[in-house]
Amino acid sequence: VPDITDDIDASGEAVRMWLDANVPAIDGLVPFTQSSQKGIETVRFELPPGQEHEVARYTAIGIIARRLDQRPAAFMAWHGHLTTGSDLGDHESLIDDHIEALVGTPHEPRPKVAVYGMVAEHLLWRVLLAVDRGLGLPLRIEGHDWDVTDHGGDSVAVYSTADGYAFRLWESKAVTGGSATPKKAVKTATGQLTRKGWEYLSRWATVARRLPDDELANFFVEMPDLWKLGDTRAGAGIAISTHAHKPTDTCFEGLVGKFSLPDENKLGNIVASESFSAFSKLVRRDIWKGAGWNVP
Amino acid sequence: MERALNLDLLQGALDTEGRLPTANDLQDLLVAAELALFTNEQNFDDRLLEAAWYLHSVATAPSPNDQISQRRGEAARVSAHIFDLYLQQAGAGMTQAVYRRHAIAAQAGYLIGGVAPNAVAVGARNPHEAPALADDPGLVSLHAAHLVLSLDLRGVADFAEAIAIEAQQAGGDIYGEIEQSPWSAAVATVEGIRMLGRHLTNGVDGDLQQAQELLTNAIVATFAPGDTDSRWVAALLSDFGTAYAATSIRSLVPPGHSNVHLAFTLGEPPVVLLWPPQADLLRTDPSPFSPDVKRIVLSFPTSAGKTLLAQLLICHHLAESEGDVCFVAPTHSLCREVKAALDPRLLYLGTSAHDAGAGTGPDSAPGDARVLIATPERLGSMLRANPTAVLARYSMFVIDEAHLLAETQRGWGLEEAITLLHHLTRDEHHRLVVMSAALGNSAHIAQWLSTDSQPVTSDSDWRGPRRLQVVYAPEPVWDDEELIEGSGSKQPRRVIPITGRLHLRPRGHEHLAGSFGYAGDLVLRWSPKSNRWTRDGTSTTQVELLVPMIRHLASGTGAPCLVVVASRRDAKKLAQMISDVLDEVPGNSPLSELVASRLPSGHPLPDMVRHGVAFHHGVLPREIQAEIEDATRRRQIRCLVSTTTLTEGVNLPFRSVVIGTIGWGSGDSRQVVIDPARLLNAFGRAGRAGRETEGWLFYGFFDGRAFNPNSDFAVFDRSAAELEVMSTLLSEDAVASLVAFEALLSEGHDAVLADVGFAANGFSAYVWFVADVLSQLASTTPINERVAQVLESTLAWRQFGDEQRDRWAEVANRSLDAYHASPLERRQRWSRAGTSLHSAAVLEGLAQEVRDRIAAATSPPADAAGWLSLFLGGVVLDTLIALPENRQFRGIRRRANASLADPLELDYLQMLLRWVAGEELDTISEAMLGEIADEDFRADALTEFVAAVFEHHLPWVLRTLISWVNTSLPDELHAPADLPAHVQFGVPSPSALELMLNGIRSRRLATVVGTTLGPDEPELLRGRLQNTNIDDWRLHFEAAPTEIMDLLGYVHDPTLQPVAQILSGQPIFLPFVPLPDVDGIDGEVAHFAVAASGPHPRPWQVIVDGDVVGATLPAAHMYVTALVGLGQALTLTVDAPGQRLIVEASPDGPLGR
Repeated sequence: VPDITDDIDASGEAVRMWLDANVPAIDGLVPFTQSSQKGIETVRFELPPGQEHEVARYTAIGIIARRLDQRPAAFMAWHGHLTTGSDLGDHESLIDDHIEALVGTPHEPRPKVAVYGMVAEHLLWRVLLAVDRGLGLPLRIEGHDWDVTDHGGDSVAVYSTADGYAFRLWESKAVTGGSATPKKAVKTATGQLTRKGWEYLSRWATVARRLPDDELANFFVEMPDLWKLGDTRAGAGIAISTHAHKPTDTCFEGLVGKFSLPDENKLGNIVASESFSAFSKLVRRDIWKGAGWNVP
Repeated sequence: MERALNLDLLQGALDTEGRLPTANDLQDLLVAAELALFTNEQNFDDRLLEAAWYLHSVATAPSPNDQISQRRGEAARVSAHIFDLYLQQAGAGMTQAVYRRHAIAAQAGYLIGGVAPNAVAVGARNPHEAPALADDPGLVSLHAAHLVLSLDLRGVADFAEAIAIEAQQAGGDIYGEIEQSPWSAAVATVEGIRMLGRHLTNGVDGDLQQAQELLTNAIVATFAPGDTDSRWVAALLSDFGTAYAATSIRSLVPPGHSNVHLAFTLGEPPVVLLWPPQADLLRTDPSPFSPDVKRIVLSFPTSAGKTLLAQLLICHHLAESEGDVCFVAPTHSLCREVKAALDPRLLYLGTSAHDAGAGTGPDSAPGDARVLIATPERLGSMLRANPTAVLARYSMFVIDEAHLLAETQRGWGLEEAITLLHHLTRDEHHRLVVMSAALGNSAHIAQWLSTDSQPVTSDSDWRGPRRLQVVYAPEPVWDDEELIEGSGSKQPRRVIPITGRLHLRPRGHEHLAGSFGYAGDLVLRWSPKSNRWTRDGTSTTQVELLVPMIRHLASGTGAPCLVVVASRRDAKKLAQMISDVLDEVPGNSPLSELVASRLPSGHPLPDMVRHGVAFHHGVLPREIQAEIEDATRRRQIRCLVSTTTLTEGVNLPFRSVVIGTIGWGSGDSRQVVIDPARLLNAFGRAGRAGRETEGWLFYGFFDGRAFNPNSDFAVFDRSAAELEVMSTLLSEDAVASLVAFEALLSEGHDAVLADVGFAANGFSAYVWFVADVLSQLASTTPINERVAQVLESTLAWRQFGDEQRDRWAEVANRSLDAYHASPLERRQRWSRAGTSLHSAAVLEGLAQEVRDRIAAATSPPADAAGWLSLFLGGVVLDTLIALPENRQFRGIRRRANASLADPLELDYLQMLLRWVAGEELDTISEAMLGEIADEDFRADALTEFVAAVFEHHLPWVLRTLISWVNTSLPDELHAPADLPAHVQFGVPSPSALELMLNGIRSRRLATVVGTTLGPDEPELLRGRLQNTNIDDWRLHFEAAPTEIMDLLGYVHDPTLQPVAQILSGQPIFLPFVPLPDVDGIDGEVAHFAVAASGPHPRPWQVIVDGDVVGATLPAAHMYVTALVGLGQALTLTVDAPGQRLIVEASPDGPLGR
């Protein structure tokens, strides 16, 4: 683990290494099962009751680590305050600004849906980095941090396989409302990916063709065509974060036949906790707590 | 739709496999989306968006060879089209980020697809507030990209400055090193975009390199990988500078005159990239900028950029040559518009344009104005008065709307002027630029104007905005007919509802139709006499059937709609009907009151204006025309119903054009007045480049038969043959005139001096005039031979057959005989009259009569009214009004439908004297036209009479009469030369006239200002007004905002140093008035700001450290406006003792740092 007192680390590597060393991977923290829903390969993580606080804390740490990975000292100040109550020092202002942008303040919190979306997207990221679905672990995950309520393509994970690169375009959904069901959410997400997947891939192709890694850049440029042609290298996934009691056994069956892609290239993720909204609020509480804010 | 998709290329772009729609399907979906947009349906097919994003990825891919480049181009245009439609349909409900992403994708597509004006038009819609980094850095990048793709480089500079300040502050407060923060991608993107803007403005390669480095940093986004929006726009724009360098003003306009470049890249509106036909022309060899190119013929459709090309040629000519430019435009409206468009560019060259229109002011432009804008009649008048002086001053002549050569009434006048200019300058340095949107035979016109070399020609059919062609065909719904039984003498009737049906022209195979539902009724009445059902007079009329559709257009899109009709009567009637069904427009009351103050009471326009509707035709008072045009530009008028006066080149922002009626009468007596060229020009008003991405053309189809999509869309197609410009001497009317001439001749009459119709009248007068001009130029060749050479230079001579040529040559011979038989003085007098020889003879008789009256008077009259009474008493005024040149007026009807065979008898002289006394039209109407009971018709009749006779015909003939009368009278008995101007402007005093001759449009204002500040001291007027201020004008003159703007233009101090001086690095000094209690500001840096409160227009204030420390004088208001609008960053330093500001160009150069 490098000296984490550095103020700036352009690569973000120090924080990532710290994270690897100090935060367990999600598969080591939360039990999961794998199944097939009419050919759609699915994993389900379910937080054991009583473990929500621990997982929420690791989730909060993961979210802030991604947010502050180029400012290791600020991240450590936040983490120190969360875990030991140590002084935030000169980093307080920077931390406040980042966290306000992310979840608002206790007096003016961002909308709940934004917080649930943020937590769901982070959990997707953790799952993608932990579980090998036959393509190995992703070489690269591209996604956006600024507005998790944008629909249609939250992340694209790129894998290096024996046959070259492959990608999976992911959409994540938090399912918390009384009448909301994972099945309906999958249907909604499928529609959004159908419509907006093109935008996501098209815009990424524009960006990627100017990236320094020529081989990877060429693959990004190719993605819209692979998506259009239903090529085996293209794929899609939907991630659901929800309450444990919501039925998920058949929720991904609606993906069968969608996107003109082979069904084996479509994936489902479920992260369930007794109450996902309560879990998300625990995450937010820890984020605020690390910034030294009084949480009601 | 007008611009068909290239299905092969599109299919290639889409590829044949996969899950996107085929090219044919996509085309059908697009047409359906267009129709849904028109009918306000809110369902956008997802398949379109999916295809659009895919095509966007194709469009933004690199293209190693031309074939792929074509594919990219088609993909780009189609994707842009889809995004554009999506924004128009669903944009209002989008978040700012989502809106901007789609707008940027549309703009990028339009630019890559070679349709830059559409990118600008997308940018002009729905301006959003500028975001801050603290809100969302990705949104900041999207905003900057949206600005640069709109080619709003000043907007980019201002926004980038604000972001730089925020980033700088944040650097201290938040991030330490902003370059290593999550904002880094956005900050680098915005700064890169700003450098790109600077490069496009200044052409400095270093700026481009810096832009590319910054954008590359943003793409990699080491510190902000999640800022996908910043990374996307950085990637999209990273090759923008190099990709468009070839079409930039910098690369296409010859170097050496940096102010010419700045006039376009900074002048309002800024122009950075040229459009394909413009670029193509400027790349031709020889270059049209070369002084060796003497003739240029441009045949461009409207919205293809010919006006801008003319501006480029003019500015370059002024910078390169010592000669001035004469710009010829056919209507007053267009003259006004040309000046308004040219002045912001000429500012950079230290000069301006003078709009002489067809007015009675001086012939030449004031000394500092190097561009004269004139109607063809005005140019003709100048050439007749002194051709040598015209050619000595002006070395470039730009003839706009040249297809008017073929117009019955005015074409010959234009042909005369062009012929003479061409003939006299064939071997000289003078340059002639002829432009039109409707020259079907441009090659022939170019041949006509060839010198020792062929003219440079450009013939393009490119245009920016797409055009949708829709036939509106009301159809009876026979199934829903209702039978009304007869009773007593009433015969039974059948009422059949009519549905307003729209047929959208297919781009491929599919013809779509939609309906508005109920549009009116067809009523059939049983006729026992003919034993059949006949159409009843209570049926909805053709014009009424248009109302539901126009109502929809006017209330839907927010962009004004132009309805073109054949007659003034139709214009008024239809405007009234539309006004009746539209709600009032909030905020239009002041405009309505202003219009009402200038028209007689009972006039329908003020109430229409309140509803956002107006009508416009050639005999509306000029000031009213100007107000309506300005209000349309401000989008206060949402539906303008006009005759073709407004379709010749006027650049108003219409999105849709409806052709309501194209003629009158039916059967054999049907007369079509909107000919193919006029129709083409009328359609050309739809969808202005840079303002709209598409224009909708509607044609009312009232044929009584079922619409046939296979043949009836042909109305939108104009073949080159239909648009061939033929000399008016080949028209049927001209042949009739020639026959009349020959008949008189065979009967032994003096046909040359007879009124035999416009063609032979005009031709004889031209021969006379040419003979006189040539007689003043040294030559050994006999006059007749030289006249023949000029006639051979006419367009008519090139187009005549042998027999026609011989017959017209005989007319010429007769005219020359009469010329040679006349005394020298008469030869010259008649030559300069500009009338037919018949009217010249009449005028000569009248001149003798008036001369005798003056000689008999005890003393010369003291004022304009006295002179007019003396001049025009007896039969003189009636005779002048009856001259054949007074085409627009043939009497005032007693009632709206009364015959002109028995017109109202009026004392025209009394009416004129009231007009010249400055009386309100209301007062004149009540006093003189009380016999007409219908207040509405009375008001209309008076305004049309005033416009036709007092504003147009009478001043022109009176000027000739005065000059002839004065020549043989001693100086002390000379009538004032400005008498015609009093008649034209309807003002009593020299001071009021001074104002009207110098840009004041309201005779009410001119009269009250003149009366208040000294009616007989015009030379002191400007100084007196300069010592007052805007608040005084509001208080004492009750001046409306547009009137105040006119007064600000009048009081402008011409001795202020040229604004352009600042571009050469020299400081300029500007007087200002410090507030009384302000001190300690000497040497402080200041800036200008418009006063924060009060009615518009507000004065400019001088601000130091956020406090108002003084104000500029009204005389400098326009000057400061020009300075601020220069696009050059300025440094202002207060010189308190000198009570002046030192204004210098900021060392950072144009567009800031």
